[in-house]
Amino acid sequence: MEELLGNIYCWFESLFGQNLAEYLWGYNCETQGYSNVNLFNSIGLLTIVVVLIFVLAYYYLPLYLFNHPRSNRWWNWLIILGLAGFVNFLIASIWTVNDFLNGNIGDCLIYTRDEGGNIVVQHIYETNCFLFGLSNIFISTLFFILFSILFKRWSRNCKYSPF
Amino acid sequence: MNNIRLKSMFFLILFLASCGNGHKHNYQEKKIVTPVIPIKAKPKINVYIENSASMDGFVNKGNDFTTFVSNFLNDTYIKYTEDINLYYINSRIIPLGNDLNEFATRLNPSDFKKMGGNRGATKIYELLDTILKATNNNTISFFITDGIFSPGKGKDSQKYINDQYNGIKRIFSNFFKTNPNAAVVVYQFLSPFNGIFYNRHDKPIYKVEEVLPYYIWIIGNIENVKDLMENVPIERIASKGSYKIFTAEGRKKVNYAIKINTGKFDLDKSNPKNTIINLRKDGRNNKVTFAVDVDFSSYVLNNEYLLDKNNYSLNNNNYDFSIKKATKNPYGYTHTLVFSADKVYKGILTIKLNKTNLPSWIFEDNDDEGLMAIRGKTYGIKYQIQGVHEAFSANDESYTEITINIK
Repeated sequence: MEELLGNIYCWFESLFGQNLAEYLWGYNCETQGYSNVNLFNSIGLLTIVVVLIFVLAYYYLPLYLFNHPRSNRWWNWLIILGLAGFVNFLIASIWTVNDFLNGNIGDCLIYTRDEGGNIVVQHIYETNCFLFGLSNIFISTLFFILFSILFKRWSRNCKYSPF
Repeated sequence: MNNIRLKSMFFLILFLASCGNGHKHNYQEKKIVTPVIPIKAKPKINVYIENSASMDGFVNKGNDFTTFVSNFLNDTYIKYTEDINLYYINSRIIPLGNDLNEFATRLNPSDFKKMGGNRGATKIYELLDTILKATNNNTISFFITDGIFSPGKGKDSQKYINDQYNGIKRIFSNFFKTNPNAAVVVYQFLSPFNGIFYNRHDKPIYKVEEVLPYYIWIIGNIENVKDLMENVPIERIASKGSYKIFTAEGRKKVNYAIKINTGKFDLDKSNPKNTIINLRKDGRNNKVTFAVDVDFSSYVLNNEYLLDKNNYSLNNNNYDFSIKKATKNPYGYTHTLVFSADKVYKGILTIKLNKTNLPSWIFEDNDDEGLMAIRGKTYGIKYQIQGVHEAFSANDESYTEITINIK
């Protein structure tokens, strides 16, 4: 169960790379074990919370764009889904870019070095972090659909959105 | 009704939000701990130089032998320890004090003769026995010898050699039992020999001018010997390729870990150092690959031995492997074992660093006859080294074992 979110994220591992995935699993170069916090769980739970807020707001918050008679349209639902995805893209990207720039990702994950310590290959760039952000959009979408199915039936105005 | 629903949703959100651990990272909790490294007292060094008559030809001033021995002891004094005691050794031990300058001037045939003892026969086994009895965890012994057995007149040389071999094996076996962390390093050097050479019948052959081997045995606790070798690197005194080496030491556990970024696989989250899961082919070379970093730094084994694939054995021959020096890393890994296979073979993969292979020079430089001086060869050296080697590998045929679980 502890690895459930990580396993879901790893459906997209080819997108953001194996090494960033190892970092997110909590791999620590110093101990050569998974002794750091499992960031898939941290980022994943935050993503779920954000999605939940957007889904609940869409179906129950009595505001324009949200739980409103004029919002009961599939494309309106799609806008909210897009907004949640964008927020989650920012969360995942900023979190990992920060860790990358602050040197929190272990050297053994970022580089392969030769016998003299010179860098032979770099495995993690900022791009990988943004691609992880992109992966988080997919995860966000997945949970958005799931929560929509769960919560729409009790909505006063949007119970038929998107289907 | 709607109000109640809204309120329950609000509390549900609050509850879920509290489940996440936010931006708590382990690295924020890291404290910089400066390790306290205790200063270990250096061991005492006892130097035993064989002064039997067969050694006279090595100690003419200006020979490579005297130059090297003086330089080596001087470097040991400067770079390792000043606590050096010097001895001649033949049938008995003759103390020479600890003055290296005086010792250097005494490296000549007349002083060898003057200091006495029975210089007529060399019983290597007995010399080694005397030295081992004076060696412990806080002592390193150097034994400088030509390594030539001299059975003496009218003796059955084959029986003599066999007795010496068994004796050496027995004393080193006992020594290893009481000192499981012991190590033996034997260096072979070459030097011009000018003088009388005694053959296996003790018959003198006069005016021999030949290049003959001599040996420096280093015996002591493995950590001390390793420390000495690092502080007084032999290659700084003798050029590389001008000497040969044999080492004997016990079995121990080494630190190792599967190296990340070396193939398509995942590490087992609970045993990431030695368990691979989901191993698959790498599209680039259509092969299954992975590598293991190993720390061999605790061995006195030289790098040539550690880098020679023939000194390792694998329990699964479907995997091919190579060994190279580890890339620079802060974790102390010295070597990397790289494995590859055409497809995934699951199970336990065991790699052993074997003790069974004696260096080839021991056989190449062995003289089985002992009738005359032969360039680069020593009468019976094979039996001395084999005796030590077999004593150290009687219980364990490998120096260490590395186990990788492929699930």
